[in-house]
Amino acid sequence: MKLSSPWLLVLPAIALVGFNSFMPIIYAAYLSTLRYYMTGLEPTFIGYGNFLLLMNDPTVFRSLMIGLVFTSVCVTIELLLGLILALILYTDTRMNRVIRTIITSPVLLPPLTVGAAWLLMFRSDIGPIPRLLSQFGITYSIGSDPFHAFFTAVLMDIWHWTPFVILVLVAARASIPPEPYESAMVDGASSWHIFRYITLPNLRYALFVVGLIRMIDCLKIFDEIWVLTSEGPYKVTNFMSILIVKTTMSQLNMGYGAALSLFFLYIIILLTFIFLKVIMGERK
Amino acid sequence: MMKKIMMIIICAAFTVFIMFPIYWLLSISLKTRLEIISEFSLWPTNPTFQNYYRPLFEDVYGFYIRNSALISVIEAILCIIIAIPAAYAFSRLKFKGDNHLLFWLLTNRMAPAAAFLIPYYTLYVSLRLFDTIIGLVIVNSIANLPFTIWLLKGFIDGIPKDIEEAAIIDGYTFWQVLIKIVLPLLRPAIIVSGLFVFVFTWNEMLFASLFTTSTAAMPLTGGLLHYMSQTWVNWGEIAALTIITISPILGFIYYLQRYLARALTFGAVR
Repeated sequence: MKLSSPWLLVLPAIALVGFNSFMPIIYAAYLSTLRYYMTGLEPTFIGYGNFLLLMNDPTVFRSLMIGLVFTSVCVTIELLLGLILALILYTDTRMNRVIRTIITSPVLLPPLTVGAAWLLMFRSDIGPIPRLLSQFGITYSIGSDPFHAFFTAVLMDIWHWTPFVILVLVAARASIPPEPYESAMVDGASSWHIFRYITLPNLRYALFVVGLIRMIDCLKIFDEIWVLTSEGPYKVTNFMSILIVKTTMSQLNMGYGAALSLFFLYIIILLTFIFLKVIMGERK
Repeated sequence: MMKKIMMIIICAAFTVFIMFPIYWLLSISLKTRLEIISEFSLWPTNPTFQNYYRPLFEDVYGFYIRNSALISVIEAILCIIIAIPAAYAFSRLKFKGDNHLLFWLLTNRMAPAAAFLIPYYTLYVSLRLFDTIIGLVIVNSIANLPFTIWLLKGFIDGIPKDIEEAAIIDGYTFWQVLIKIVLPLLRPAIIVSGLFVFVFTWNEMLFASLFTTSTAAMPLTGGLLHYMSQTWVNWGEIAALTIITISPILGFIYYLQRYLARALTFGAVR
C-alpha cells in the first residue's frame, strides 16, 4: 500500500467540486453586501444591512419553519416506508426485479413533470382525485385549503423519492455477507432478532446517508412545488427556495436574494452538522 | 403465512400508489387537448396517438434526448471514476483534516443553486464552457460527486478490512487491491450510485435551461421548460414525451436490477 498518498486519491474530486464552489460563494458573499436591484440602478454598498433586514423579516422565519416541518415529515415517512419495502424486495427474484423496475419510474421524471402530473391530478377543475372525492361529499382543493396543499406536497415528495430510498437500501441489504444470517439461523434466532441485531446495524450507514441526502434535497425542494402550488394558499408551501427565487427573479432584488441564499445555506449546514453529531453521538 | 400476505398487500398497495400518476400521464398522453381540459374520464374515450407525433418526429426532441443521454452518461461515469478512489481514501486511510474535507464536500450539495447563477454564468462564459455538453457535466458534478463519495464511503466502511490485508500480504499493490478486491464487492453500490447520478443529471433543470441555448447542448429538461413557457401548453404532448423518454430507461434499469441485488460473496473473491 505504498503509492497511495490519500491526497492524491481525493485530489480530482476536491478540484472538480472546488472549481464549481469557490468563486460563486465569494461572489454571492459580495452581492449580499449590496443594495442591488437589477433594474439599471447602480448598486450601493450597505454592509450587513441585508442580513439585518432578513433577521427582522417574519416571512423568512416562517418559510424556514414550514420547510423544517415538511422535511421532517417527508424524510421520516420515506425512510420507514423505504426500509420496509427494501426488506421485502431485496431478494433477486424475477418478480422483485419487475416490481423494483416499475417503482423506479417516479425518480426518472424531471421534477417539473412531477409537479405538472400532480397538478393535473389534483387541480380542482380537471383533476381525477378532487372529482372522485366530491362524490363522497369531500371538497379537496389545493388552491384554497392550506392543509390540502401541504398534504398534497408531502404525498408528492413521498411518491417521488421513496423509490430512491428503496433502491439504495436494496443495494445495501444485498451487500451484507450471508454468513451472520446463516449462523443466526443455526442458533434459531427469531426474525425480529435477526432484523434488530444483524440487518439494522449493517444498514445503519446506508440509512444515515440516504436520510442525510433526502434531508438536504427536501429542504431545498423547488421545481415540483413551484409547479404544483407555488407559494400555496396562505403561503403554506412558501419554502425558502421559493422565497429566494421570488426575491431574485420576480423582484430582481439581487442583494437580498444573495443574503437569503447564504443564510439558508448556513442553516442547512448547521442542521446537517447537528444531524451528524446526534447520529455519531449515538454510535459511541 | 400471515406475514407473507401482509408483505404482498404492502407491496401491491405501494405499487398502485406509485403507478397511478404514471398511469394518469399515459392516459393524458392518449387524450385530445379538449378532452384533457373539459371532461373527466379515467381512461381516454377516443384514444389517439396525435400527441406522440411531435415528440417522436420533430428533430429538436431527438437532439434534446441525445444531449440529455450524453450528459447524464458521461456524468455518471465521471463521478464513479473520481469518487471510488476518494471514497476509499476517506474510508480507509486516515489523513489530516479528512473529516472536515468530507463535510465540506457535502456542503456543496446544500448550496441553493439559484443564488449562484450569475457568478456561474460569468465563469462559464469566460471559460467557453457555456452552451457545451462538457460544461453541463462539470456544473452537475458539484451536487453529484459529494453524493457519490458519501454513499460509496458508507459501503466501503461495511467491507471487512481483513480481506484487503490478506491481499496485501499476498503481494497485491494498492491499485490491485482496489480494482480486484474492493470493486467487485462494491458492485451493488456502484450500480445504485451510478444510476442515481444519471437520474439526478437527467432531471436537473436550472442549469440545463439557463446554461444552454442551442440544440448542440440543450438537454431535455431545458427544452421542456422552453416549451412550457410558450403561450399555451399542450399537456398531452408533455405526457407523451415523458412516456417516450422513460420507457427505454426503465428497460435499462430492469437489466441493471440483476446486478443491484446480487452481491458477490466473500467466498467468491478469494
